[in-house]
Amino acid sequence: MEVRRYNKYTTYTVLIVGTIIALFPLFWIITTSLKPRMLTFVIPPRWFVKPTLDNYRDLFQATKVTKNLVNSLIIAGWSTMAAASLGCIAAFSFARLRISRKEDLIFWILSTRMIPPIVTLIPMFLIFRSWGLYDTHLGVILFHTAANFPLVVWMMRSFIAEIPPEVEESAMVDGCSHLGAFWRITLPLTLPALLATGVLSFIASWNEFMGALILTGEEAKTLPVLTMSFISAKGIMWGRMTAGATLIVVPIIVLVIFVQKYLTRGLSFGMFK
Amino acid sequence: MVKSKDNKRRSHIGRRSVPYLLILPVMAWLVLLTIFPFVKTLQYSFLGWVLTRPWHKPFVGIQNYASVLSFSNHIYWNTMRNTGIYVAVALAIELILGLWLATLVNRPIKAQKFFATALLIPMVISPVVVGLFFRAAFAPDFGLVNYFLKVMRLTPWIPQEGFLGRISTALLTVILVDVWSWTPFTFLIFFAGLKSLPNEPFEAAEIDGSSPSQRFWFVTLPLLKPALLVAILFRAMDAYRIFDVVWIMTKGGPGGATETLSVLIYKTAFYYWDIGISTAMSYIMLVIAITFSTVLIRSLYHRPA
Repeated sequence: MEVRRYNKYTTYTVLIVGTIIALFPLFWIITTSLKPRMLTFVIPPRWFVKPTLDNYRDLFQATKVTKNLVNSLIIAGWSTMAAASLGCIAAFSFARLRISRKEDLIFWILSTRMIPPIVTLIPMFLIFRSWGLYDTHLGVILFHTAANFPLVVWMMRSFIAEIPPEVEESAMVDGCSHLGAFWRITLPLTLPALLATGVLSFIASWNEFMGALILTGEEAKTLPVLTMSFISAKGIMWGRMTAGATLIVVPIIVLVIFVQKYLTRGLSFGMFK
Repeated sequence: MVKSKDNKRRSHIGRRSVPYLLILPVMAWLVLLTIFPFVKTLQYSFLGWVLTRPWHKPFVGIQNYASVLSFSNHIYWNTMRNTGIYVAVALAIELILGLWLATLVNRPIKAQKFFATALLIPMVISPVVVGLFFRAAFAPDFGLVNYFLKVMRLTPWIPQEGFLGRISTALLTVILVDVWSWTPFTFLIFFAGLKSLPNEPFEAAEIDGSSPSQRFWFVTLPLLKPALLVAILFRAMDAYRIFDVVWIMTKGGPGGATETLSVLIYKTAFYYWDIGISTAMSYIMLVIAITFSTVLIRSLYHRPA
């Protein structure tokens, strides 16, 4: 677009204020988790104090946070792998192969993303209890994987559709089966996109709260559910809470920086680049 | 959206069932975790089943639906009203703010990439962390919001019980937190939409002597329709089912002022253990969600390419 006249000062002021508003909570959580307990709620707030790891020491000694951290990793890791692998294969089939009523099926997959989770979680809670899946990793993995399929299928379909079918066809002329051509040619070409899709599913599963709250008790409890429990009617354990929140947020910010290029595409389910 | 061309040369794939086998795991998984629970939900919603007496589950017909939808059920209708306000207000603010920020970042500015990424951060922060932060920020005694208002000498406007503790301000406060978390999403969609716009219509409009605001309303906005539909679809459906942030900040209080549908259903199912009533409410919720999302998805689907 051609350069039009615009008010530079207003633009930059608005964007800088917007950025501060967007990033401030992150700054507050991380700095508060590093403050000595005495200074957490001094008014006026002290922004820069000598950092201490007391809150983290307390979090790791007084609670089972290590276990919850491992639970979160196992659940997010396995559900990402399941969603990314099965979803990618389905996306290939949708993008390249002949399926009757293809559009209806793929829009049905998208519409499962629109279902309020509470609707499926009540029966799932009851069914999982009778099947012995309540409070297990597998139970939450089943739920998170289903929740991530729409993202993976839509995003990977849009990436695969961008690769010209001719590259597969030339491999097939050389004697590959269509699946073999996908495995040897298309998949390596879309590998960066698949990794980015995986990272986005990992983030979704890692952050997810409602399903983990309903489907787990003590054994498979995830990090967000634990962190939530530091706030109760009796009061708020600020140190533990901010330390737990930092453990949730920091890995995600790192991952987001890695997949920055694919964010728009992923978060719009491949509909925009 | 990119549609794959149906290429005739592909028909030589030996077995016709292969494409279906490849989508089978995903489809089966989704059926098992969506359709199957829907059937169960429908079945439970006809039972007078409270988990404090798990073996006693008589068939009560439509009695659960009747008591949920009865006009004397003020809790339910209050919740519907809250949810409606939440969706409408959050969606309106997020669309306007997101579009505005997108037009600003789309200008030829320095550090465009930095701003575009920084403004996205709230969206990827776990709702648990968002809820905990804002609960702390709005706390009446030591919260940052009250502190800043005091610094700015706006003391008379500070509610004693905090913005989340007063019935008249709680819902709006919760909506503002939603705006903080999700304006990044509408921003992202509109920014992507703006970047992909063609140049010609703008040049033509400029040659015709249109004003910048005319160009915005009559050229930019119609061209952004797909982006607008995607933003509305995702934001409306997510706001409609809002649970985590509200649950952590207020648990639906004070006095039901911030109780949304998901919060009420969660409480009914997991605090009062009333499976019959909670599944009846969630079935109604599901029907509304499916109706709206189908209408929105269809308007996306049938848009001219």
